[in-house]
Amino acid sequence: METQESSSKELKLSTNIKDNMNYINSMFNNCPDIIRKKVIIADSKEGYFIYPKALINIDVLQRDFIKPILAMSLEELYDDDLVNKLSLSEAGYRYELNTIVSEITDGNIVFIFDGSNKAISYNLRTFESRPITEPVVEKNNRGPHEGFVETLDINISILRRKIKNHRLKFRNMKVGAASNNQVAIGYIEGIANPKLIDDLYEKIISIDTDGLISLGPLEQLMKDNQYSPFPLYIATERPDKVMAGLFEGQLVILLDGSPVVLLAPVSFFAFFQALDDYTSNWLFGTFSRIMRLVAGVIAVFLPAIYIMITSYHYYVVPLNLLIPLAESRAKVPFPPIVEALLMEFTIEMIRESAVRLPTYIGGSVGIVGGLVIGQAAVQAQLVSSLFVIIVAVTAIASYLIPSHDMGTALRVIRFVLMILAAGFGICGVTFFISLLFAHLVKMESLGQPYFQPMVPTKLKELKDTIIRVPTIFLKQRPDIAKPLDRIRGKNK
Amino acid sequence: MKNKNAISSNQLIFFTVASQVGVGIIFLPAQLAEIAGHDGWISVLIAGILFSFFILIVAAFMNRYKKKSIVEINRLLYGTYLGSIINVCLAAYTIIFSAAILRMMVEAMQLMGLKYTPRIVLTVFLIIPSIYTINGGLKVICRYLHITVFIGVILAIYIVLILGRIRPTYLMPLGEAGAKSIFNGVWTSIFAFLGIELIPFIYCEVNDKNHVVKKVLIGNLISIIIYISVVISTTGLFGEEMIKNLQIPLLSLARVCYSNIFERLDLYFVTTWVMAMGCVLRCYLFSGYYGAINAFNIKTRKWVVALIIIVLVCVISLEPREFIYLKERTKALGWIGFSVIVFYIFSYILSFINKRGVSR
Repeated sequence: METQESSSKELKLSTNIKDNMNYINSMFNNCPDIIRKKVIIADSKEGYFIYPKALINIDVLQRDFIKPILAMSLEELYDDDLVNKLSLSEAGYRYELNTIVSEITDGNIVFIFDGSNKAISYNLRTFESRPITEPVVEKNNRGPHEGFVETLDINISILRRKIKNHRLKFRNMKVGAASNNQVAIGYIEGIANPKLIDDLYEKIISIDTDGLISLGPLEQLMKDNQYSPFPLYIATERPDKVMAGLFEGQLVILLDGSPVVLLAPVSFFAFFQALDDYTSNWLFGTFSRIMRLVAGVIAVFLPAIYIMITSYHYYVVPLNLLIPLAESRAKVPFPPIVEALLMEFTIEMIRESAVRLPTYIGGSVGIVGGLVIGQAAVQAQLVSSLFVIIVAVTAIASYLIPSHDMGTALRVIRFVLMILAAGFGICGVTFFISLLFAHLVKMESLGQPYFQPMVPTKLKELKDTIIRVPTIFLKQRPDIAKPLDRIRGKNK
Repeated sequence: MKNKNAISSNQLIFFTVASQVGVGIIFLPAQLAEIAGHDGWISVLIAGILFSFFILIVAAFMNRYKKKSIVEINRLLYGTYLGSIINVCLAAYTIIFSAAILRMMVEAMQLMGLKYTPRIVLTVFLIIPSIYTINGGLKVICRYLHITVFIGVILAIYIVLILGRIRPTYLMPLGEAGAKSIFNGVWTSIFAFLGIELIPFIYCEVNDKNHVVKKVLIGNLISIIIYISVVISTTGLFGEEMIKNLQIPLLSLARVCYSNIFERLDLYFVTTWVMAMGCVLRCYLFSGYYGAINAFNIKTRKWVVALIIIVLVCVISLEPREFIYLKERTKALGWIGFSVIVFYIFSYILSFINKRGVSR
């Protein structure tokens, strides 16, 4: 408590090295990874190099920092222009003790010495990071095959390499009282709306938590509607997707330690779009989008429609289909809802186990699951053969959604709908549609209506929502991010 | 902080159509056939045009006070006491109307197969989405009302499906019913166009007030087209004699639709229409709630008012024992609704004498 209070104040460096070191030692008590290397500089004065052992390059430290410092006279050391005389690229003066502590934990090397009330901080972070690889969960056919990694700096450099423009900006901040996670908001100046940037900055900076283990908690803490199953930000590992978003005026949220980044603001329909929609012919893109939206509807409604029809409204089935349906249901001892929940739950278990297990075992789980569902369940007369087809189609449809978050949301609400359909038939389905629609139109992503451009209707935007018109007609940026510059290109 | 009730004038089109069409259309073709025979559609057209004039007058009235709701205007025009009594009466009207719509939705649900489910269960079940929408404010309600486009498309599909079976001879000769019958039909049709009496409740929340008249008139025009389409198609399909004996001609229209893939298309139609009635319910319920919190000048704990209104609506909706009583109540509410519009016209005239609060 005492430490927290003191760290929140601006503590100035003292000219007495002992006072400074007492404070730093108290802060890094029981931190064996933080090295406090004592050196004797000119005129037998004491100095300290303080750094996290595992996060820096020792060779460079000794060659470019310690050695020149030790060779300097006291006059040179006290010189206000000292940092400019050292061959250090990212060095600067620091005057507050709490800033020094924070920079050391960030991976900087700090040098303090007796008689001076300033410290030299040098960024020499070199820690191991994963090579840039293709994201496992977001594949595409014709786009680039690189993905983000866990290191924030590398992720920023990936974007910088793709967008060679000084207007690509990043606003940094720290989140987490205990972990001090570094978060950055990326945007293109002149396209992104400053009000949205400020809103997002305020949203993130106001988060009060110990630390962020991944981007998921950050996303949840930023969400206005905490109880909604629907995602309000697009989570992606693909730099090309982020690039496309930035060009539309969207903001990207990057978290150090997470290969996933968030894009905002987004609409409900953005979760049904994939990069291949733009990299391939417009006709194929349109076809894929319509297919995904239909798949979304199937993923939510198909099992419920089966339950509704078999439980209450069998008369809506054409006679030719009604007979085989009745025959397949005749030997099943359970009511439709039990049959449906049994099968759907089994499918979900198979899916979950396939995700958790290594790839080579995951494949065999699929085979076992396929056998159980496809053959054994029907033979044992636990479920009707028609329902097996329905379960299979529903499962495939739910996996067609490019966004994992949206796919999961649709799968979960399907269970609610199934129970309503079992309890109230078509009335339950009507109730669900009504509530779902109300929920979707009520939600907002970063203050922008989530269900646009359908509601509120923006006719011009529809050309890149359900359908995707040829690229030549996509001259205007979408309105959802309220871009400052509405027209793409040089505006000539 | 964002005003969750602020809407654009474009959204007013949806509000107008949704509040007018959802309920009025249910009994209209049968009632008109009884009074004006196969010339009912002419009565609808005249009533629609008449309502356009009412809209102009009501808009002119509201325009004199710009940023004030009808509740504030009543206080200015009639004084604190009388004005408050009028406001409570207006709120009561919207609440009782909401209850009638809710009951109609329950009846529709029972028609769809839930005969043995207790009414109270269905009532609670049906009001939940409305509560959720109203909680989001007028902005969310108007966004929700976009669903009327989908409902309109469904209605058009059903009409297209029976188009080939419509007999133009059922609609001939034009004007056979005579001027008196057509005029009587106008009276009946007027009730179907009710819904615009809610505009003064929400007028102050519209951002671009200069376009209000135009947008409400567009909404009214869409309602006229829908009503005429339904009246012509049902009369042309069943004939005036048969239609008189049909309880709900619109449902009968859906029943005769046939498709090779789906059977019993009426089931889907009733489902769609329950949603349409839900839209009307939201419009009236919100107006009742908004009117009540303004009438009693409630700033905090608005949820208590909302809760009281919801309970009242549910209880009142359960009161009519049979469908026939509900029909009677709807008729009475039609008269009250029309009286509300007459009251607005009277207030407009009065506003030239008592100029308190009139915008310059």
